[in-house]
Amino acid sequence: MPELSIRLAIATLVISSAAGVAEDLAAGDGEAVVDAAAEVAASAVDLGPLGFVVISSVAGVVGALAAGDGAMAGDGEAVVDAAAAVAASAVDLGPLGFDDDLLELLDMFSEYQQIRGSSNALLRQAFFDLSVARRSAGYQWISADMYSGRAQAITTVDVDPIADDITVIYRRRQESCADEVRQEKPREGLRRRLPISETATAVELNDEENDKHNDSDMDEMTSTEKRNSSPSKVRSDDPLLWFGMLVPPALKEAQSGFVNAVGQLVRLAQLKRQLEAKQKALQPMLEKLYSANNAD
Amino acid sequence: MNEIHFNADAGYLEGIVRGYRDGLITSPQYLNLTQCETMDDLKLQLATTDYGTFLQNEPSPLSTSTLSTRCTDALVAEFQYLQQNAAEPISKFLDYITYGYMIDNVILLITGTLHERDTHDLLEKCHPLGFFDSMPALCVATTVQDLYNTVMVDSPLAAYFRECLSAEDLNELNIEIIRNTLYKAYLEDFYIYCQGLGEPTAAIMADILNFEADRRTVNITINSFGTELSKDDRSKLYPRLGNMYPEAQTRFARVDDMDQVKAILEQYGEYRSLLIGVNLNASTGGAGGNELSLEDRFFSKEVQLNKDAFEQQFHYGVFFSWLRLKEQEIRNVVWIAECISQQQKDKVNNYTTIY
Repeated sequence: MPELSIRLAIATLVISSAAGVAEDLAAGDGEAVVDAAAEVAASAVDLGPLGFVVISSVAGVVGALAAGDGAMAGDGEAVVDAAAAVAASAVDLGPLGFDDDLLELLDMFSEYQQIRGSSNALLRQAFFDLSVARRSAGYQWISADMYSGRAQAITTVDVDPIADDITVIYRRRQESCADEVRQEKPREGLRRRLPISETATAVELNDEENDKHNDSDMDEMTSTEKRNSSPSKVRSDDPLLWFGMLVPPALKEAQSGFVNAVGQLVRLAQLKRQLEAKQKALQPMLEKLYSANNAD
Repeated sequence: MNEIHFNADAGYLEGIVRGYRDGLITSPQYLNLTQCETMDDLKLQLATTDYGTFLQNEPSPLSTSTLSTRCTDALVAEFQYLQQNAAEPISKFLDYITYGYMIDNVILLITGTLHERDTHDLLEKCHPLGFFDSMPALCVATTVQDLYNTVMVDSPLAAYFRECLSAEDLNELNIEIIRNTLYKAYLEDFYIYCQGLGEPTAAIMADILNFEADRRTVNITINSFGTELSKDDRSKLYPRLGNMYPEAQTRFARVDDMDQVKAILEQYGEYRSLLIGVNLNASTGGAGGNELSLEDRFFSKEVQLNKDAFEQQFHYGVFFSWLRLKEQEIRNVVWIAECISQQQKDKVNNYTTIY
């Protein structure tokens, strides 16, 4: 991951700064020692929370020098060892941004919980509306027996994995009034979906493109049906027509609920992938931290 | 004089149907059903009802679709027993009852053919009470003219197709128009036939069929909001009978929302009371039935009319009323089953009690 190389570079900088301090101490240049220590401290501040540990270690070394610790002042080898210990602690504590990654993981998990709760509520209400519609119109008229034998998805979500670059594409049927292709840019190798409000628009697949995607074999592809959640009139390609022209209002409400839930379900699937990837990336550092705490 | 000769022709069957009526699920039994936690519990509670023998061989877990099918099988078995033991004129009355199911089967087959479904599967899904000999041939028709010439001309529904012959191709809109036009013609014909049977059948069936026509008028109006059905086409689907014919129907044909529907209903005394406490925008009632929908009130009104039919003797209305009460009972049982399976226990009491 790109962050690792950056983290190693900064750790190397800390080590070299500490080594520079040790050299100056060995050369007996007190002012240079202070300047070098200040430089180490400045670089340590840039490290974020981890930098506080480095600063305290460096401050401990400088404090001992200022107090005229004879053993420290005259013992260049000891100073070098102390500086090396500072640098080692900077490396041992793991890559930079560990806290940021952990916070991001927790944020994603919180979003996952929230969307899961709202999608559960939407689906629960939609299934209930479906039961109401069946009671109203008759169980024979709203059942799987009325499904069309040539049903096709009028809206799909295509996930196209290319190495670590995942892109979701929404397509509309070309003969519709607004033909728009929306493409999401990758973020940290995984796609971040649009907010639900932006996805609640009618999209339709071109038949040729639909056939092309039906032929492809994508392990991570998730295909679902979704349409406009608030049509003013029933369209000719609306699956609602399978059950007749004069369907109960509850059936329209059920359809609206299912449509609204689809976008959230796709987001849930993506969040789950992102959570698993993030957890896998953080697992080594978590184990190291755990073992370090146990050793203490 | 009707009372003297009635028992000779239909006394046995009236006794049978009154026995069927006594087998309907009562309020204490409904309470037991609503307290079930799982579908297996529900099946256990239904074992003591008329549906017990039809459910005992069903494997667990029991689905609501299977429950609906088996309950319908129980109803069909009882009705077919009546048909098999009926002679004229009661047999013709029972045949008239089955014409409504025939219309449903015709529409189901036409719709399934339009959607390219397998014919064999469709025939198995048809209602048994509406089966007639030339029904399988329906699947080859592509226009209404073909439908009439090749199939319907020899069926009991031939006379009802007269008003549908103007439709050209069979698409979703035309099929819906055909369905409602057929049922409209059937309802009007059934009404005229019942009037010809004399009192008390004529009076009892008039009340029931008038209410049925009014309910269809309101449902067609509400369901047509936001569809491609024009207002002129909508008005043609209203049955030409009922308390709302013709004045209220003319107004219903022009409305665009539920508030206008309510304004028209409030002008009729028998329906003004139904609107009290009704949330017109709710499809179903809330917890405990405190906030009912118009549909719930229509169900209650229908149940009351059909229960009242059993207060008199020596008329054919009891057969029709028993069938409608039985269908309502099945609707209640399946509703309770749906609430149990979906863990919606706060909505489980939204059924229409019969006895």
